[in-house]
Amino acid sequence: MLNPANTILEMKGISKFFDGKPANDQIDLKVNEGEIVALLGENGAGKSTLMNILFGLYQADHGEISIDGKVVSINSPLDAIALGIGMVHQHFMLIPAFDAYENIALSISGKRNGLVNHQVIREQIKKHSIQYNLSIVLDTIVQDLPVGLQQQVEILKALFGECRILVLDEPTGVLNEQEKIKLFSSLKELKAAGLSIIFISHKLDEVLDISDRVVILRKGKVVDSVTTNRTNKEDLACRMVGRDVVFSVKKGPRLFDNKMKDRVLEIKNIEVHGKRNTQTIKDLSLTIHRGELFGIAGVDGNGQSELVEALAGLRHVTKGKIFLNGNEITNRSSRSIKQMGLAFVPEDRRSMGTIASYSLDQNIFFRNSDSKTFRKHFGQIDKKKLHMLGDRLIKDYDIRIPHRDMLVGQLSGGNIQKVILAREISSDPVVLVAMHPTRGLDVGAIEFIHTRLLELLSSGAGILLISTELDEIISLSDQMAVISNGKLSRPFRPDELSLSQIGLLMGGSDEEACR
Amino acid sequence: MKRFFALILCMLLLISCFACDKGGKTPEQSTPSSMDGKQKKELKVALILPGSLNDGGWNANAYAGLQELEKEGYKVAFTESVQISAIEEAFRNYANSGFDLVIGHGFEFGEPAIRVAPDFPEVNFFVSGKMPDGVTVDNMPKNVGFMDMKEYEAAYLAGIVAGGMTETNIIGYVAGLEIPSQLSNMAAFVKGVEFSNPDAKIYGVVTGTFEDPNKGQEAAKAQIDLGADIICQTADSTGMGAIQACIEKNIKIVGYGADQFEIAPELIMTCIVTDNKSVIVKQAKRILDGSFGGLWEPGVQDGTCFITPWHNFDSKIPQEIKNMVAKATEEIKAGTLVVPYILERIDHKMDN
Amino acid sequence: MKQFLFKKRENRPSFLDSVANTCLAIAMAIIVSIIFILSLGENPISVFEFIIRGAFRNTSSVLEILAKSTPIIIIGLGVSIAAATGMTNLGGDGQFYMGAISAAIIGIYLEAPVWIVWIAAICVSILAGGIWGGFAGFLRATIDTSEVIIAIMMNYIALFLIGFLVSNPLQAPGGIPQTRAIPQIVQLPKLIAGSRAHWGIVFVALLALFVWFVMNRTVFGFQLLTIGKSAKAAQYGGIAVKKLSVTSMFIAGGFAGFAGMIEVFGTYYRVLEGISSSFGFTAVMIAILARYRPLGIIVGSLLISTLTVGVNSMQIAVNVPTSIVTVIQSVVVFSILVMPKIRANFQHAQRKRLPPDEREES
Repeated sequence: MLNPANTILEMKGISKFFDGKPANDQIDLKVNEGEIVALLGENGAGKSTLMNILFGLYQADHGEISIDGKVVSINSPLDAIALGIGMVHQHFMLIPAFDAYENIALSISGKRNGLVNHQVIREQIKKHSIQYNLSIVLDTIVQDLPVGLQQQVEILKALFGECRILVLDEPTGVLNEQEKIKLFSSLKELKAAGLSIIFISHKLDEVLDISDRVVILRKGKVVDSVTTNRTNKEDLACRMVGRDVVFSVKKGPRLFDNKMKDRVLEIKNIEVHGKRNTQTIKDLSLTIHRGELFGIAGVDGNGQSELVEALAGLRHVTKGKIFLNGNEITNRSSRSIKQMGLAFVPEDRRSMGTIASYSLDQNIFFRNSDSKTFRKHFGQIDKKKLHMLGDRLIKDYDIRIPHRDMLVGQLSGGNIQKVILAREISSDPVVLVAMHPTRGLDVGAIEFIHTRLLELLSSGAGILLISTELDEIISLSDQMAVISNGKLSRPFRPDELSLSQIGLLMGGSDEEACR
Repeated sequence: MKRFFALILCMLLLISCFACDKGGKTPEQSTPSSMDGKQKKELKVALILPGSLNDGGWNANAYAGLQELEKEGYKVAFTESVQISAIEEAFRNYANSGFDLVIGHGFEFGEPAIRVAPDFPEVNFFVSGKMPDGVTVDNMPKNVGFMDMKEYEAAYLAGIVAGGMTETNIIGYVAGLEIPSQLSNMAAFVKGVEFSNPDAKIYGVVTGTFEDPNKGQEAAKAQIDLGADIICQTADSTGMGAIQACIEKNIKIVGYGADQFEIAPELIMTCIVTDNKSVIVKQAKRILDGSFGGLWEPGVQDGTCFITPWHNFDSKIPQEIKNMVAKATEEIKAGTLVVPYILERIDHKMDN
Repeated sequence: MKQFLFKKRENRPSFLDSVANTCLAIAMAIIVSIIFILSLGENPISVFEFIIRGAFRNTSSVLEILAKSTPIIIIGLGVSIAAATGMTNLGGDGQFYMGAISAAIIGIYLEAPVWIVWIAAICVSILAGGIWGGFAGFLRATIDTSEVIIAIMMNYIALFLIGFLVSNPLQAPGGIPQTRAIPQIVQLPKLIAGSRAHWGIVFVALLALFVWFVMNRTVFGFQLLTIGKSAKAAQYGGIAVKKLSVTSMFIAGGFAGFAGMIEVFGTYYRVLEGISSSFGFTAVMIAILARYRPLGIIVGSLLISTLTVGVNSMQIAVNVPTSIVTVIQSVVVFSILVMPKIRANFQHAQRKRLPPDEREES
């Protein structure tokens, strides 16, 4: 350990509100010179918000930041860079068509009054990259580089701002094992050179591997700050997911019993490619029975979106088969999958689940536009029937809508979600796939939605619930599994594993390690 | 900001209301009325040009004619660069605006003129070109006039000169596109040569373009190599190349389109010329003297087509030749000599 | 866009909006034109007076306005249908020519009763224009090329194809590059003898009504609009996004092709180069300005045609150089396109900037 006395960065009482809800709530953070601090937390715990405040992308509503004991104000990334703060974002901020050298030179040329001395900069880059064990091919176009090397370019770019504090936001998310090892060795070199590093992650192994100290965030608050060598995986997992299960809705009397053996949804060894071929679903299987709620927990971006899109017919399945109520639905159109009884509450409720500039009726109709129920002789829309259905759903689902013709985009998140849920459940589905149905909603709305989901179960439908809220999954599921890196763990009953074991699964450990 | 815009808008609305109102209540005075007793000062002439008035040729000459009419006190208007598809609209526009004579300067104006004319019996339409297929003097509206330029009459006269002046008995002829006017010129030229010198041979080239001086130069050189000592060109820019070749080899020239004497004062004997400017000017006069309508056939007879004065060759051309030209001119004017209108090649073809 | 789909209330502010945009655009055009005319030493007031009086000077000038707007309205209505799915049909000119030439071929060569010739010409022109437009849409849907670029390129192909056809295989005798005329019996009757306006304008009114009905009352129109709002949501909603996108471009092309047929049968009676003077571009501009509403497209087209007719007759009366005319027209087009944006930016600047939204929602 280096001399711990030198505090380089101190953030005190940082609070940040979005729409009146705290993303950061009175956060204190101290970083010493030559120290690697890990910020650990689930999605939405406030890690990225805090770092974006430090880097000047957001301004804190309360609190102060001091560097070397002096209070500073950071209003933009330029200020942050001038203060010696460098940041490597989760999504790289490189210009893909430029080569590595140009990308780095770009960030410094401004300082030389627009005159660039390429020779000098090249020398400096070489010096740096040798010093910190970063291997960079300067003349390759960035988009042709593997992600690991792209990240090194980002790091070098950050270092050129005479950087003293380096922030890495989920740096390992895109890396393979070798690249990760390489990154960590570079980070250790940087640390040895006296740099302070803030390392954002939700992966426990990495945090234990690289950091000196772990600061754990949950729901916008610092829960704990521990020295790394005085803690272990289970401890960290426990602290990260928390123990305060506060949900009031519990499963009622056991709905799912062995008598209901009908399999409503069966996924057999499917493989799905992701958007940028980054995340793929590999060999994933699961089965849901009548009246069963199957929960999938996991950190965002581990293949959940790809999975539900494949189910709903919005993404191509390259291998394997999906059966709905015994009928194969693999790669069928979203329309026919819907007609066969798969309802779907999508992750993005504002731009996919609803159309903001449509009224409530129209939002119900766009998911049923082929149904004969609402069609008259000349292909006109039967607005009367539609209106009646709208009225009924408003009443049944307690949708708070000031007037009937209001655009759905003007409603609150909770009410939008009720509209979606009402629409999907009213189609009398065999299976409901719900992704993040309660994300960002207030307690009342969450409770309402949970109640509705359980009601649907009792009517005999199966539900696939995907959420990052572990508490939600645990309290509602009959069976659950954890998805990590496109792979689904073995299904288990929620009471079968401890919180810390589940946390370990979420953190990317395989099941053997949990035992 | 908003108020400012609102204010401007209100004002504009008011202005436009006034303007509309006026337009509605007092329709324009000059609804087309009968020509009887109309003084020339009141005659309104419109010219519609297919191309730009700065083209230095077809359109520019017509525009010069219009300017002359304006100088003489006529009221004039024009539109340039009118596409074929926009001709009918342009005709109607002028006819509606009280013009007495609307001139469409080109063959392509014929059909729209025939179509529009019956709707405006008081307006005269003139087309600088021949009638479209199927239209005859008998079945076309009375208020439409066409013209058929007899430029070949002037070519015949030039042929007489060339035939009389050649020493090698070999003459070159460089033409432009293979179109009726060019073919008839060429044939009439040959006939003229035959008239003054039955032994002479004419080597003709139809270059296929009016725009390529190089081609003209090549053609003329080939003819000179065959022994031609006079070259006649009727090919605009292409012809300029032919003239260039003649200057290099000191060969006599018959020019075309305008009096080209100044280009080569010692070599250009004469030029075949059509006075497009007077075509326009004459239409106004024809309306006033009541002879407008039908097919107008200008040529050597009325002085629209002619060959230019001798200039430096005045002393070199034998009186005998001059007399032949003068006699032929007289006979054409008197109608006793009819220059043949031939649309075939009767020269010694040199193309290909 | 079409928030008035099911309701009237939402309609009003946006309608006022587009009226305001139009007025502002015209105001800006007038101001710029005044400056320009002054700089040329002409009297702007008399120039404008001539324009307005010229446009409304008599029946035939008013009929000329109708004649000029007929093809623009038809193409504009098609543009609005393509726009519903988020496609911009800038290929109106090419589709127009394809429709025109195929209709002309039917008109010239098909010897049949008049109404059969008409129906055949309508079908063939819609098909020809539709294929021309649908192809751009098809490429967009399948390999994600820009339908704008493809459509513009298709314009050139059509233009050169027409240039070839009217000067070679289909050329009428007489040397002018144009096809033969269709027989008099199949020509559409004129509204009033002595004008260029014909009964095609009646089609236009019916067509506008039809488009309004389809886009505002039917499931098909709703599905098209949904695709335009969010292709992602539409796909989730079970709407055949690709198929309908291509269909919408096919319809847009079909409309332009139909406009070509109307022009051939009603105005020119034959095909020659220049029968479309950038109708396709003008129609897109008007459709955007009208927010893709049929009534707005009619009004906008009439407005532009009024200006053109007025300007043409002004040129006769004042004898200003044609360049002034071109500049005034360009300025109008320019400001119509630019003004709404300026206004939107202005309004946007007045609004308070909202804090960046992470995932949290209210």
